Amino acid sequence: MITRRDFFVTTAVAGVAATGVGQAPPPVPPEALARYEWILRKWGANFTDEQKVDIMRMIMDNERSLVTMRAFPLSNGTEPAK
Amino acid sequence: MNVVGMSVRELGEHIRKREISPVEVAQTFLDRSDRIGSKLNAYATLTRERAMNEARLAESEIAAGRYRGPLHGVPYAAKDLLAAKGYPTTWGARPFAKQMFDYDAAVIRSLHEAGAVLIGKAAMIELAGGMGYRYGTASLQGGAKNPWNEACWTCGSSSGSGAIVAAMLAPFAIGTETWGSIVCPSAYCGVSGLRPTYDRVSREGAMALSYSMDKIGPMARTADDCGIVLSAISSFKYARAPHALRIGWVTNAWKDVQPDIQRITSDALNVLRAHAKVEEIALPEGPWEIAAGTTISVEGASAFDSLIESGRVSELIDPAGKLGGYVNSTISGADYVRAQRIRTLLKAKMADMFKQVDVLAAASLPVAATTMETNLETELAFSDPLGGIGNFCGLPAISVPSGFTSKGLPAGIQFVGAANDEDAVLAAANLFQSHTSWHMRQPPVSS
Repeated sequence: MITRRDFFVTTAVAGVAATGVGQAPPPVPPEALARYEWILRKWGANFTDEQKVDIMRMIMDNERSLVTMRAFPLSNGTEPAK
Repeated sequence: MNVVGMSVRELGEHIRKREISPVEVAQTFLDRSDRIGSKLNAYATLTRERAMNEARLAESEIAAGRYRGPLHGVPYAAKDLLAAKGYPTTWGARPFAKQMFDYDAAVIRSLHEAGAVLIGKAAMIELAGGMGYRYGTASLQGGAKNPWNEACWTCGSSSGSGAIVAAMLAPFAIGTETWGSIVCPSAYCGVSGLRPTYDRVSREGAMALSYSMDKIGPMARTADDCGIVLSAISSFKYARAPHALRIGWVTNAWKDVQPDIQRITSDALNVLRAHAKVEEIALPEGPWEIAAGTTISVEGASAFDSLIESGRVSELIDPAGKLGGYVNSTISGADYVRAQRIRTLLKAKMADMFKQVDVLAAASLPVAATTMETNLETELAFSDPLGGIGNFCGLPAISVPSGFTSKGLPAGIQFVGAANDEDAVLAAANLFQSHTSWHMRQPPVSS
C-alpha cells in the first residue's frame, strides 16, 4: 500500500508537472483525501502504486466537477427529477 | 439479386413480394459477417443456428400468407448487452465472458415477433463504458475497426453495431446509449442511428448501466429504416410523412470543430435552410454535463456494486475501467440528489426551448473517427452540452451522415427533439436524407 508520505510526494510531483517547476503543488482537498483513504482502506490490496496515483487523479478531477455542481443555485423546493 | 447494402425497407419489400428467400438472405449476411466481421472485431458471436431457424420460419410464414411486416425475414445484430437465449451475453467484459441467460431481452422478443432474424451479437465496449475507459480497445472482442479506415475506431460503446451496419454485415443493428453510444458510432461509421426517448423502449433483459439514462435504439442505413425498427420494438407508430419543421441550429454545441467537419456542417446547414425554417438557438448554460456524469457514475457504481466489491472489476481490460468504479462508489448521496434536482430545472428549460422549435440540430461530433490508439481522456475530452443535456433529459436524437472529410472519413449531423417526439426527429432526418446521398455511400471493405 502506498503510504501517506508517498502519496503526498506523488501528488507534489504531479502538481509540479502540472503547474511548472518551482510552483507549489495544488492543495489536496480534505474530502478528496478522505475518499482516497476510504478506497485504499477497503480495497488497497487490489492496486499497484501506479494505480493509486491514477485513483487520486480521478478523485481530484471528480472533486473539481462536484465543486462546480454544488455552486449551482437551487431553491429548497426544487425536487429531484422523476 | 444483391441484397448487400439494401435498406431495410427495400430488402423487406423484396422479401414481401417473395422475390428473394429469407433463408438466402440470412445465409448471405451470415457468410459476410463471418468473413468480414472477424476482421473488424464487429461481433461477439454469430447466432447462426437461431438465424437459420428464424429465417426458415419467416420463409414458411410468408409462403403461407402470414406476412408480419417490413422486418419479416430481415437480418439484424443486437448489441451484446441484450440477453439472447442459448448464446453468451458477455456485456463486452471479461468477468462476464461465459454469462448465459435462458431468456430473450424484450427487444429481441419484439423483433422475433416482427419476424426479424437475429444473426449475431454485436461487440461493444466493456460494460458499455460504465466504469470509464481510455482506449477504443476496451472490449472483450478487441477494438472495433472502422470500415471506412481500419486504423480508426468505430467509437463506442455500440462499437460493433456501428461497424456491422457500416460494413453492410446486416441491414440494421440494435445499439444502446447512456451518453453518446449510438450517436457517436453512427457519426464515426457513417450510418443513421436513433436514440429514442428514455423509457420508449423496454430495457428488460438489457444490461443496466444507468437506470435513469439507458436507452435502446436502432442503427441502420437510413433514418427511415430507424423509424421502421423503432416501431417494431416500442409502441411508437412510425409514418413517413412530410412535416413542416422549425429547426433550431445550436450555436454552442461545440467549441473547437475540425476544419473538415466545419465545412461539412456548413454545407449541411445550407441544405436545411433550403428546405425548412432554421433559426439560431443557444443551449442554456449550467453544470448539466457534470450532473449527467454524476448520475451515470453513481448509478453505474450501484449497478456493478458486486463487481466492484469483489475486486473482479480489475479483470476489465481498460486501465481506467479497472479503477473508475471504486472512485464512483465514493460520490456522496447528497451530490447524486443535487444532480437530480438540477435535472428538474434543466427539463423545464428544455421543454420551453421546444416551444420555439421542433428539433435542435448540430454536428454530431466536432471530429471525425480517431485512431484506435487515441487516448480518449486526453484527446477527446471536449465538452458535449447537447449530448449531455439530451441524454440527461431523456430526449430523442438521431445522427445521420452529413459528408466526408478529405481523408474519406464520415461526419454526421444530429437532430434532437422533445421527449416522445421521435416523429419530428425522424422527419428532420428524412428531410435531410431526401436531399443528400451521403447515407448511400459504401465503405471500401473487401467482400
